[in-house]
Amino acid sequence: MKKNLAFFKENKKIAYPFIGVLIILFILDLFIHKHVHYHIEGVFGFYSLFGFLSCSLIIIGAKLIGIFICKKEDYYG
Amino acid sequence: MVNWIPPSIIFIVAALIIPFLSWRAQKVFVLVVPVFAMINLFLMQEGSHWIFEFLGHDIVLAKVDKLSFLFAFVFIILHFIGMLFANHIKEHWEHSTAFLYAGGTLGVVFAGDFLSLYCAWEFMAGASVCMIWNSMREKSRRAGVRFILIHFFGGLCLLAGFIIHYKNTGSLEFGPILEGGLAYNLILISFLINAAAPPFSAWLSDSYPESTPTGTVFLSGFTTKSAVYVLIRTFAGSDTLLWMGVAMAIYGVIFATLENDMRRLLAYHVISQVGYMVAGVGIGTELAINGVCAHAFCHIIYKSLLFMGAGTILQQTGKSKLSELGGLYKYMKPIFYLYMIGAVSISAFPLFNGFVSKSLIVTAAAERHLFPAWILLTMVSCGTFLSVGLKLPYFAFFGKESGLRPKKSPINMALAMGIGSFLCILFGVYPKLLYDMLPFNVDYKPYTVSHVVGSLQMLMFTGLAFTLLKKAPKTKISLDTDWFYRKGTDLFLWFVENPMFTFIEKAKKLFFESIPDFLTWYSFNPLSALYMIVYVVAMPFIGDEKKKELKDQILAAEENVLHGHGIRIIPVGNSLILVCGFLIVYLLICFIF
Repeated sequence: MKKNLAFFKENKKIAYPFIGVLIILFILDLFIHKHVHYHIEGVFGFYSLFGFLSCSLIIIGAKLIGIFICKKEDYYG
Repeated sequence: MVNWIPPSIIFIVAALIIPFLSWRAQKVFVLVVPVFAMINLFLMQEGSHWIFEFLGHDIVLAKVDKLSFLFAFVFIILHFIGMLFANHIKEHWEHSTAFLYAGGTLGVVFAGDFLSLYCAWEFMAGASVCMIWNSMREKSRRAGVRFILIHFFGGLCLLAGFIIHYKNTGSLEFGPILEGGLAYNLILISFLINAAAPPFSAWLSDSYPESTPTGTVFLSGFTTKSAVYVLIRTFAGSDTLLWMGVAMAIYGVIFATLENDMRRLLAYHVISQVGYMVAGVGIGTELAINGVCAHAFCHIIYKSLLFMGAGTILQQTGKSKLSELGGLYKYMKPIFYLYMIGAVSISAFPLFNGFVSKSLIVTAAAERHLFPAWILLTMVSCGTFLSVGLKLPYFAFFGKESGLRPKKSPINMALAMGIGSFLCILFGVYPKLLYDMLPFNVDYKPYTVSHVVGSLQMLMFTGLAFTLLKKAPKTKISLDTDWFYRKGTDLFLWFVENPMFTFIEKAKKLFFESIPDFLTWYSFNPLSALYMIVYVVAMPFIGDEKKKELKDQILAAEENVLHGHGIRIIPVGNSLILVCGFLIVYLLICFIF
């Protein structure tokens, strides 16, 4: 995590526009009229949070499963 | 008058001609045939054609409708792109097997009855294993054997299923099957094996990455998507498929996140994307079936593009593991950009083809009020972008410097990727082209402000999570369901070689040595032998003073047995009693049973 944050500090040329885009997209939610199938989609910042959380969940979930199923490369000989 | 031929015949005949061509002629020929097949496809009229009678049944080689046309159309495009990508290869057999493979797949697409479907199905399996064996390595040979065993099992399920179906209904026509019953389940299993549904999914991630860099491009498209096609034809609206599809989508994404080999990572995403399609078939509404067709169409194009990118890296560097790659951007700029077009397409970025097709299936799930399916499928699209759009390109093209200095790739490879990218963007920007080809009328607008903004938010925040949580890939492999048969065979062999072999050796000794030896010994002088046995059994129960006497008697009896002495001791009457005894036993047995 620390290493990854340091990457942001070192590569400001990439980091600033990226964070800028994130903020704009997040705030855009206020100004658009949403067509929704479920009420939850209409909540402010739903898709932003959903993207962030599901990505984290997949990474962490995979890591947990990996504890059991990851083996050395010569496992099958 | 039919002035066209079934496309499968064109490809199979072409496969037989290729070995007789010079390299230069072959280069042109392999590109001309798909173009010819495409023209032929546009000449085909709807309805059933090329019908032969066999044992009183109609064998239909070309059942043409909107659905088969769409799949054949995209399969021929894939074949053309794949052939252009592999154009620099001199080996005849690589091209020949690819043509046979395409021939088998198109045979499946146009089959109008179960018998021709079965033949094409097995033909496709045989050709696809040759594609895997083409890379001529021990690893690929082994993976190919595992692949073909699973597929032959699936093929036999199909054979058994359609025979039972025929016995029940008396019809061989290929179409929807009544739910329930053995035929339904067997055919479903067979189709799901080809669609790489768990627990029979490991064959895909196990074998596809072992093919040649060019072979994987064909493999990524034909087998699984033809399985989706037959599922649409027979099992639309089955609830089992809905949840199976959702499970596949999640399973593929999780395993891809753990993967280090880039082609295996992409193979897991084939499973994940086919999961969307299988779920769509399970939803079964018009919108969902349209979505499945559109997604299969787009998937074939962007997936081949991704495999071409990975194949180019593998061919130019000889490496496929992300932990051994890195810093390739400087040397492979065009390949990076072309790959990224495929990556953003599969991740469903607006203006790329995945955006206009995936949303059809997800919307269909929402319209049927399947909230869990909807939310899980939406979640999976974040995982797709994570692995294919961020992890793979980051660690292959950027990340740590690997010191690899790849040479420039052949121009035909970049050209093939260029055509793939063009199609990704074309159908993304102008979805009407695709929607007009779908089997049902489409009343869906992908480009609404809320949809575009929602997708962008989701994907960009996935990017944020990746940049915060990313870690260098580990040099490890993850176990999949193939563990059961890979380790299971080892266990079986151990069982045969150890406990079973020892048992057989012991049994052999007992029945062929010990017992015959004993009987021979016994038959020298049965009575003395009997005395001896009685003495030996009685030995522990007698007092010490009598033991010596008994020992002498045993020795004497043994002497008698060995030399056959004392036989005359037994009067004839004794033998008679024995014979009578046996007769009584025999009579008793007769009376009782």
